[in-house]
Amino acid sequence: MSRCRKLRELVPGSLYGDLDPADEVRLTRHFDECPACRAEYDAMARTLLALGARKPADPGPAFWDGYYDALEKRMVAEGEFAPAPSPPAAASRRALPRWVLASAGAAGLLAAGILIGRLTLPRGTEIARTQRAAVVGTEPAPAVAPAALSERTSRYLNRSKVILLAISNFDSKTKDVAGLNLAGQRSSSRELVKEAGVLKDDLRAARERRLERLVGELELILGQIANLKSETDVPGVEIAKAGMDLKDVLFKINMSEVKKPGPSAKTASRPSAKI
Amino acid sequence: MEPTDEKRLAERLLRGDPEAFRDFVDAYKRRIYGLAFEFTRNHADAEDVSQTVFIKIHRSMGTFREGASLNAWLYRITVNAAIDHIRKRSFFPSPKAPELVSESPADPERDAVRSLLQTKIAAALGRISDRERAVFLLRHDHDLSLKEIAEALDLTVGAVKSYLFRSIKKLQKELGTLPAPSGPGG
Repeated sequence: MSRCRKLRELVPGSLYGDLDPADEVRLTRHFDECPACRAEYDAMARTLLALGARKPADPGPAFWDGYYDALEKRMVAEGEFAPAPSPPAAASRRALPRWVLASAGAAGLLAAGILIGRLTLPRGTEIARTQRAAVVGTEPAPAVAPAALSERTSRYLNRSKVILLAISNFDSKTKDVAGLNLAGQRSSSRELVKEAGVLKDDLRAARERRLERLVGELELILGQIANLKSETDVPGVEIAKAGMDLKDVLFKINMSEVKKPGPSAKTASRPSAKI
Repeated sequence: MEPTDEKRLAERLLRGDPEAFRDFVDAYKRRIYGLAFEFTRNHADAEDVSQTVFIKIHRSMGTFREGASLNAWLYRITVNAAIDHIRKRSFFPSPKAPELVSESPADPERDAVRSLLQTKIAAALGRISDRERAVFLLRHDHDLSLKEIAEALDLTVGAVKSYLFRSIKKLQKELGTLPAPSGPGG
């Protein structure tokens, strides 16, 4: 019986033709002696044959033809690509991975910084130390420029705030739900939910934990709004409102606006800005 | 994709070749969408997950180690993104998406049987664990070697064998007395 168990681990390999010849011989010899294992093997092979009846999911040629354009559109919306410019040189640059552009930009800035630093700063300053660390790779460069990330986050929070304010100010006892434009709110929420994952990743990489958490909380509430059952789903709106109150997200968005530091202040105050 | 093609594409991506990303998306979009669909069972979600995967790849190409398996890396990101997506979705269920349109049936009776079989298989796959499903799909549908699956899912080869064995046994039990199909067309 223990031999059966030991040889069992060879079965998947044999079923998919991955087994080396020596193991295949061992398994075949065992089957000659053990009809139970042979029967089990045959039953598994029949299952795999039945599973071969599955058709791959195929949404059709129109979907595949437009796949890259749809992806590119989303990447532009999420700041992954620069918006498509018209000159050919820029068009090829648009398709470069962001890390290539970021590295090139960082190298340019670094060269300019070193030049300016040499002209204006005494040796051994903090800036020179940071630049040296970046050159030798002891500190990973952030994936996204802080100013661009700050702007994206701010834009994301503002767009979320508009939706949350509309929901928050809605009073089902005194107002008609039609005035809330739930179709529009659902569609905008869906877009924001889609963007949240990437933005959270970038915030995590930039160690903006507080903002990452806030975007995560917004994602959940916006998800509730995106999934409202209909354009008159008043109970759903009330649940979303309760979620907003519970998490106090509007207050947190306002606080993030108050706390938002400028690019230079941000670098200087990094240790105390962590939560 | 042949291993040499995969290696060449990985090298082009690492060099920052401007056309490489588009070629990469074209080469892998069906497989990534297909795998995402097996997890989400929903066209809109599968599209969303597959796009998220490509965005993550685009963003983190700089961290890809030369010589590592592009396949394993890509499928690792896909499986994680799909599982992450369905966990979020189970918290906030999406509205039911329309079914994918299939070609017009040539033989309605056979199509009905086939459709029933597909539904049963999808349900059976939905009842095994995420990890078992991932191992099974990567081997059965995507033809990854056991070693590549181990790399993609951060498992040992022994664990992959064990998951694969268990997944097939469970599918066998779920599918019960299904007759074997009469061939690729039938």
